[in-house]
Amino acid sequence: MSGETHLYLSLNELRALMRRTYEALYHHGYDFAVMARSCLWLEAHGLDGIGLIIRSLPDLETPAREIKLSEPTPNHFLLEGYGRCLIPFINASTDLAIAGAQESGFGQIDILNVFGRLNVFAALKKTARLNLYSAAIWYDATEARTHILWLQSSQNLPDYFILNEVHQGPWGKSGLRFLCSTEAEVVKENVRRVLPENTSPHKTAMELEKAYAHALENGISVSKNTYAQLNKIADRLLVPSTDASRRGAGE
Amino acid sequence: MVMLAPHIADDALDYRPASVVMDINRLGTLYPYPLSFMRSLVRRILREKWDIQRTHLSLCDEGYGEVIYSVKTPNGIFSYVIFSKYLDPNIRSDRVIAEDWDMTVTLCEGEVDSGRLDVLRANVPLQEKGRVDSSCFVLSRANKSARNFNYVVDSLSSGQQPDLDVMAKVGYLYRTTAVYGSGKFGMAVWDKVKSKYPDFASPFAAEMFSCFLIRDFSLFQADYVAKKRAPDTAVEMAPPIKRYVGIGNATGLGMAPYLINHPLLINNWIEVRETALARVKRSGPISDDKRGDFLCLAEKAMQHLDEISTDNADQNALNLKAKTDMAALVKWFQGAQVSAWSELTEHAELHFSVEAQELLNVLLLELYPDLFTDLEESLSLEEVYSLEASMSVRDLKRLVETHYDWALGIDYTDPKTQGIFWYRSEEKMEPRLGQRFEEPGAANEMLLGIGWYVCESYRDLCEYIEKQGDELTTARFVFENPQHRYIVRRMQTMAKTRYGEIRINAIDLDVLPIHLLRCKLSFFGVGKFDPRSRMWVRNTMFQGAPLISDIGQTVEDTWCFPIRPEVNG
Repeated sequence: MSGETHLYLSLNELRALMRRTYEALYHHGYDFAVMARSCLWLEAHGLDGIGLIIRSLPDLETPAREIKLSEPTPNHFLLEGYGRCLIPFINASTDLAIAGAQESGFGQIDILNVFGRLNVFAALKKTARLNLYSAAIWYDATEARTHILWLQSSQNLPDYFILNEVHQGPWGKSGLRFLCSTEAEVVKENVRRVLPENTSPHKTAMELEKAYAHALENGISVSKNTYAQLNKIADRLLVPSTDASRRGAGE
Repeated sequence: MVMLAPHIADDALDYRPASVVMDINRLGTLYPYPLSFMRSLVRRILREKWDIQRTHLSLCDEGYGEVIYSVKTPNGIFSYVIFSKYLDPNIRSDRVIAEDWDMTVTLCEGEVDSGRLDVLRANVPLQEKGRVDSSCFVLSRANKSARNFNYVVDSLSSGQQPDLDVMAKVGYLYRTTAVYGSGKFGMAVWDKVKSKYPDFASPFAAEMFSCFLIRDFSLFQADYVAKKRAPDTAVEMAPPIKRYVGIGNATGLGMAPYLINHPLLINNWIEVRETALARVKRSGPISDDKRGDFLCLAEKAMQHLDEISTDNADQNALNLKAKTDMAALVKWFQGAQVSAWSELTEHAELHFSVEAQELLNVLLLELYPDLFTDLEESLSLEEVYSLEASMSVRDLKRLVETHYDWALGIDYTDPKTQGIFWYRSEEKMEPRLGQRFEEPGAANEMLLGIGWYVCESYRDLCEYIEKQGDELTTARFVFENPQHRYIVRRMQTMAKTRYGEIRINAIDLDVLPIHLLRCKLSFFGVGKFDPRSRMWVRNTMFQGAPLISDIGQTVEDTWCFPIRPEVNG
């Protein structure tokens, strides 16, 4: 059992909590079930999904999100995120690239001016299930580091690389490129433009898988403060109990 | 279109159509059948001869204290830990929002030493307010049926067996009021249970096992207390009466969202059941023996219906109608010389109530379990609702029109069709129903009115096609309409299944959630439905089932439709 400052949540508990949190934030305006699963997957694979949410909360709490979509080519989409958190629209955005890959063998999105880019992780998992190959590349200007998630084979998890180098590319200082293809070589060619040969991953697919197995077995340690913070948001969904509402439970 | 799991689909079989099978009014009449989870579990326990012993007993004369059952299966050792206490009758409640119970329990992996027992003692009795670790995989509680329990103890302590008339009225000593699994309160999640504990790797097996042991403890406790009260005169309850004692259950609205939120799983359960029925109708030979078995079973089922005690007038009428129809059906069968069971089912479909039709189906399933027990392994599946991003909006529109015609047919301009909203109460997040146009809270509505979301997305899809043409992808549509991503991927997924969604408008003013409850409970194996309102139902589990003391004996799997036992003396 955990100490006083932390508690262990099962994967289901975390997913349920995140579903309610996103539902409380956006009602049914976004696909809250997938958003919750994305957070769960990050956390369960040892990639601090909860921390990402907590750091993003000031933005997530701010409604009125706008995204501008343009389409330079039929399978290349350009999105302007206006400095907002990627979480609410990452899944619908990567759908565009996935559709491109399924239709013509290759699809790509470049999202500009966003943060919380590690949330793209779930999209790579999805492409694996669809027998696609994929990668996500972004440059973090505050750390001056380049991040690459690369799904290299039929394995169901990507390798995660972090380079201490500047690779701004067309996605700029705070953007993200996500690409996927039916051909492994096509993705590899794109990734190799940024990632030198023989670079060791920051986390290998196997390490991510081990982290997940550990979380599945033992649950996820979450600070009680964080747990309370998320529950405070999720609890906005709860409706006060009255005599009338008790009748609504069958009394 | 590619069909999804459950991989058992046999297109040579004559499946009933989804429009018939998934109608909520029909699903609300289902009876348990041989692949119901508690039936499967009991078969497994008996087949594998699980070793179940009470290894730790610390009870006062009134039966309060702690008991640990050691459970040795072919694949592991588990402990079932029970905390039993005195409960003030004035606070005894079956509601989820209750705070205290007569009995609280957990099922966990491995043996329980004193240190672990201390941790469980500090948490299990608190239920939702406690935490357990991931070696536990069921947390549950139960309340005494005080009048029945006291009556049984009084009878046994005075040297008498309890009167079967009394036992027939309330067929249990305890009622479970919640059975939690799947990762609640820190417990192991289903994926872990499935991979690590193969003995409990079928749906709800662990939860059903917990109820099975609550039943055992309730019987043990009654004997124990009677013996302590009157050591010289007390007798133990006779085994046939014990078998007739089940475990009560109270199920409310909390179970309903599960069915709507897991359509792939429910489709799978239904498809397995329908596959079994189709196999029986195709391959079940009608011999003289089977004719006789059918008539005996029908007689037993009618007696069972006769013995159900409920104050609910509607349920009584349904039971009576099912019994009357079955009697007429039997009479027709005896004179008709049918050569295939499908002749009988077709006759029932033409002339008798839905209740009777489904009762007949179960009787046929009970006659030929060997034709479908191989399907047991197909009852669980991984639920993945994936967006088909590249599908054109033209195809998406056609898909909705084809597979969700039942939803598009609902007139949501009529306020009655959206008169209800489902929400979570601040009291333990209990799901409740509110009147949309009269009560506050609709802004926090749960996403359960699937038909309404289908219609909303379809309307926007049509407008989108009108403006953009019908060549663009689903990905484009949901990008520009992110509020529809969930329902679109759900529709795309369910369209690949044989049976699809349960056809219910869950937000209709007159919705009967109790149909959802009965549907799910029938898959659990529950019988004797006693509706207390349209939102919750009492029922009985494991009535007629073998006892732990029967393990190792030859026991037939014939405890469906339990009836009063014949007891000499």
